[in-house]
Amino acid sequence: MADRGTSGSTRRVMNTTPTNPASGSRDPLRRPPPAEPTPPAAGQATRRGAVLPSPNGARAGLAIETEGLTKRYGARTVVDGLDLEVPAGVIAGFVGPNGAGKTTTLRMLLGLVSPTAGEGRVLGVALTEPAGYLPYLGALIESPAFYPGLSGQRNLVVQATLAGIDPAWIPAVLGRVGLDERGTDPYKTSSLGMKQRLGIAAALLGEPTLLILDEPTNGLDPAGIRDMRDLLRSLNQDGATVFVSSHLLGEVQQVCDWLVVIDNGRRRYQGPTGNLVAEGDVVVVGCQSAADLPTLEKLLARRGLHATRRGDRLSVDLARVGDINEAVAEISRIAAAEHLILVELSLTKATLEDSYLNLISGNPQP
Amino acid sequence: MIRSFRSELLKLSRPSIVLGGGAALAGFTALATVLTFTTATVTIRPAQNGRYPTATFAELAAPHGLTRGFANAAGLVGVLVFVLFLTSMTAEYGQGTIRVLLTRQPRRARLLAGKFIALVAVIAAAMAAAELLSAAIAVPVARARGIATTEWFSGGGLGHAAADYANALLAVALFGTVGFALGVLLRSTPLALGVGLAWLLPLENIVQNSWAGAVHWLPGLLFGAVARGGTTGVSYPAAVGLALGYGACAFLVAALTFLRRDVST
Repeated sequence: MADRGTSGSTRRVMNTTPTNPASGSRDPLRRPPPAEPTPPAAGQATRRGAVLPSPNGARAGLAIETEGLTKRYGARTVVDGLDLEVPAGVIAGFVGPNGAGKTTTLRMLLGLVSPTAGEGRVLGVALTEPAGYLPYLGALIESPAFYPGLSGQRNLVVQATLAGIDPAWIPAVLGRVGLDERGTDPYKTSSLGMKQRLGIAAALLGEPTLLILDEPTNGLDPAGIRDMRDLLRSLNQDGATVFVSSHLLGEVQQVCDWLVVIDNGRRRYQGPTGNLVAEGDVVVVGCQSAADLPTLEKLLARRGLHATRRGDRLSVDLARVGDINEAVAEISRIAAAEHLILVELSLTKATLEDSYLNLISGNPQP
Repeated sequence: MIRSFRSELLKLSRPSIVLGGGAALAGFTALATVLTFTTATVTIRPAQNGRYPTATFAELAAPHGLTRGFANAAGLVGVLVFVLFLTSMTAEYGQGTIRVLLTRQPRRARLLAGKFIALVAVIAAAMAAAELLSAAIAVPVARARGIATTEWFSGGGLGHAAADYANALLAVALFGTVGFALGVLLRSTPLALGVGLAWLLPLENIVQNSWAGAVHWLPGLLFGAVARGGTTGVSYPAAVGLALGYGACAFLVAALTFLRRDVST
């Protein structure tokens, strides 16, 4: 699992945050994290104090689920039978190459685009009824979209009014993204990073149970990216599920505990981020005599360990190995039994980038 | 729908709309009013090809003379309103804000209705202000030209002013509805403006010059006739009936398209 350290709980919420008029609770942005992530499943109270309906077929614990979700534009299939499951209470990454169908999928989840086939549920409500779940959802799709002639704050007032959210929340969400001093600046004069922050602030309006963010770090400087990482963790600890699309795999690896990878509109991986990353881990083995490597390779293969030559070293794939320590010990025992002298026996941890590129380049995955 | 209405009002209250649109409206109204009184003649000139004849001193001295300039301005103001309604939709697509609107108010019919009604409400207020401006200009200009104004402020005169306001508002709202529909259908500001203005300005006038029946059928000319309370070319009831039909069709097509179409911009 990805590290979700306590540094993520650093927050910038101001003390002047008003009481939530919908629920009557104190500032939910400052709510202490629950002991266990409690998904806002059907029939449960949401962060806004409302209760979602309990539609037939909704599986408990899933914030997003789709079955065979498909979108075609003419002869071109953009999303192809996508089966998606995002557990409630996680930070889920959504990655794939450009044109893989990520944004179209997100648009379908937001009710902007109608699926050609398939079905799905968001927060337990069918995709065909977006009005049933969108009030509990905050979104940033593609680039931030605001009215250039209005200030950032005024833009949020427009959105809050349309959504029926008390505009008294606006200073709090601006503060949370670090725009409390710049909210009155005209939007058209804002930098790309400030626009991105404003887009996040808009998504936070209304205490969303589920956040869907498409490339939220676009245009952010390194400090902004770090702030975004902390913000996502903080929101998650407050109980929100976050579904975030990104090309920054290092960030995804750090922040996301669940991962969905798609390519050409099809799902390539879905599951804990750590599992995919671990599948790329290898043990590098070096023999004193390079001539011994083929022998060792055969011996390892007999024990079910797949090794490949990398120069004067063997790289042993740990993708299907249950216990890494046991695997390393086994390699050592095999070499000793054949009197092969090892000069290197080291574990190399893969990055998400390694595993992702391996996956996308076509290597088989379970 | 109320939330959509209030949200749209917030957007329309931005300075570029209030100052820019207000200045254009005031300019058109003042120009039409001044021209109406300065080009007035003592004797009658007949209308040609459905065009409006120049007013006479006697007509302008009648109870409806006070707002004659305002009614004449409605055609020009209609084009302004056409542009405002059109760009209010195309800008949402161009800026990508349509995505935000639809995630905040997924009930598309309510969103569209609230937006449209807010636009009409703003136009109603602006037209009332324009009528007052026109009246304020008409009085000194008429007196300068020696046109009597005593009948204007009688009960009949104020009744005519109210009727002229209603007709002008209906006419510009119909111009706006067509612009709104074009905006929804074409989504691109340059494309929708090009098509709409080409149709309303040169095309209808060219057809009108070669076909006497144009005033009975072409929407822009009909909307203008509604603003004037009917013309010698087309009666008021006929103009209102067909103009409302055009407006209703345009709105229906726009609404059906908006409800069904994917938002992929």
